[in-house]
Amino acid sequence: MSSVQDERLPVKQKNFQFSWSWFSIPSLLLFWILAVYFMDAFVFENRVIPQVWEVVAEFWEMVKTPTDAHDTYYTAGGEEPKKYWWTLGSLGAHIWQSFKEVVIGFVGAFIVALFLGFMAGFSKGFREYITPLNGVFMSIPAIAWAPLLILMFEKFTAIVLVVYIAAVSPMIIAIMEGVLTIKGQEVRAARALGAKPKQLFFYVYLPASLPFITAGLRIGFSQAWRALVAAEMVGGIGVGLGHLVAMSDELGSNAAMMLGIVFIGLLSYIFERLVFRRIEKRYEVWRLH
Amino acid sequence: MDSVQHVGGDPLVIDNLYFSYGQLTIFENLNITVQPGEFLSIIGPSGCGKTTLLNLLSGFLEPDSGSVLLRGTPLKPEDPHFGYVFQHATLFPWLSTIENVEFGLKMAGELSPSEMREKAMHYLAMVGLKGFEDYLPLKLSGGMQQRVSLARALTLEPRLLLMDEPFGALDAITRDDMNDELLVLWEELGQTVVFITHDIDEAIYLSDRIIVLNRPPHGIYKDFKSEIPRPRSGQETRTCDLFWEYKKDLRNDIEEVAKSAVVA
Repeated sequence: MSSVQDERLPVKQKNFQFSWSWFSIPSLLLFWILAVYFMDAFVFENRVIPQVWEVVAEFWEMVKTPTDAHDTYYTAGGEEPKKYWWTLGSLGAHIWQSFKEVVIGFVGAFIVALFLGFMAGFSKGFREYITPLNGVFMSIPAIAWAPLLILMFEKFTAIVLVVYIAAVSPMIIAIMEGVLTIKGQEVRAARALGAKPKQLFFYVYLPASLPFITAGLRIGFSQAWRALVAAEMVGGIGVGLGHLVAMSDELGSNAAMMLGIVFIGLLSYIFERLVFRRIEKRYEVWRLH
Repeated sequence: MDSVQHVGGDPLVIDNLYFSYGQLTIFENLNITVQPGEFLSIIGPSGCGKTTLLNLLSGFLEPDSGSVLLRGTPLKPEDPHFGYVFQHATLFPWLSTIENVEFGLKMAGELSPSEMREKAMHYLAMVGLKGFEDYLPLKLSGGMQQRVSLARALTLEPRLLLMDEPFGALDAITRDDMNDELLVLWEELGQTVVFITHDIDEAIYLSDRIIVLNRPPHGIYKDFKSEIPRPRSGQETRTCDLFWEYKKDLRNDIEEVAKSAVVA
């Protein structure tokens, strides 16, 4: 196994290999700065979009400001609340809240989708049964369920359920399609080598469908994340990145709003790099056929 | 590997076999007995049911009536007594070469990991791929992939090898090489082989016995034993008089079979 791993690792790259991607974010920031100057000068009397450094200042301000709900979470008993820089103050409270909601809803959706997706892949009858249901749930934006769910459940539960609804159907479809494309030849070869049904599942179907499972994870997560932000805006419980953006509008703090937007993007990007990219690395060498 | 010395103690018996796809009857009262240790090639134009026959032998398909028996019991795909080599290598792309070769042993679960590795290495070396154990199948050429597939089937030390046009997708030169190597392996291991092909040269070069299949549902058109002496070797065998004679006959036979289909 260990020597195979070497084959799968990417070729070690030179430390400084030029890439045009280095310019992407800096050019965006430069455009932002210039655009704000331009709007200040010619368009708006009151500034709408804050300058980059105002957002950075807001970031620092929020990091320094602890919230009871958040920072006391990290302290024991009723003593003087300790402050840790890595809890990111009140910004950290928003991030942590969104993180909890998306992870619970998304992981729940993934477990259900894995089960139902494989069942739909193996059984024609179940596939016929579940396809219209997926169609229904895919055609209704998950956020549309939010007001109803808020009436029925606690707000936290309602938001988690919105995330779940958004993610589950696309993941079922992706996994089902993946199972359907597994080549009969590989299954036949495994059977001729003595694989029993359970072994077929774990040694053939599961590894062969890993690329599709990851594709499903990606689609599901992007849906989940969008639904989360929307649900927090609608049914905010006073905390969460979506709420930060919506609430800052009411408070007139445009820098905080922009900061919320930046972190919504950043978190999603971190998930992509740390979770999905890593799974994909495991099979990208052999998937090329 | 001492267990290979006593392989092939029992004949493979195809007895009064009937099989049809719906209205289309493929085999009617088919009877073939394959002797232990025999190298049998089954040849015929495409569409005459060669692969269907192999699927019936291996138990991937059930006959309508009649039976295929090895040691008195019908074969099932999971049966460790036979190995199956497919037209395409059908290796598992997510496993390394050596992990592919080990697959059958792992499914059986009787050996420790180090014993499995040792045995798999033995057969990988036997097909001439020592040193390639950590490659992913995708990195190997078509001929090498088919060798891995052969090694994978051999690790279970089957008494019977079923081969479905295993070299059909390879170029002519590679195919000749593979034929030579297969003969060497077979002479060493001594399994019963049922070899499906549409290549006349290949069939004559390898076989003790050749069956020409007729168009469905007539079954066998011709069944004869080869007189070409063993051991056979490359050019010498491929250019001997008997080889040319068989080749001429078989070509005529296959043309006849193909022609009968046009009339029907």
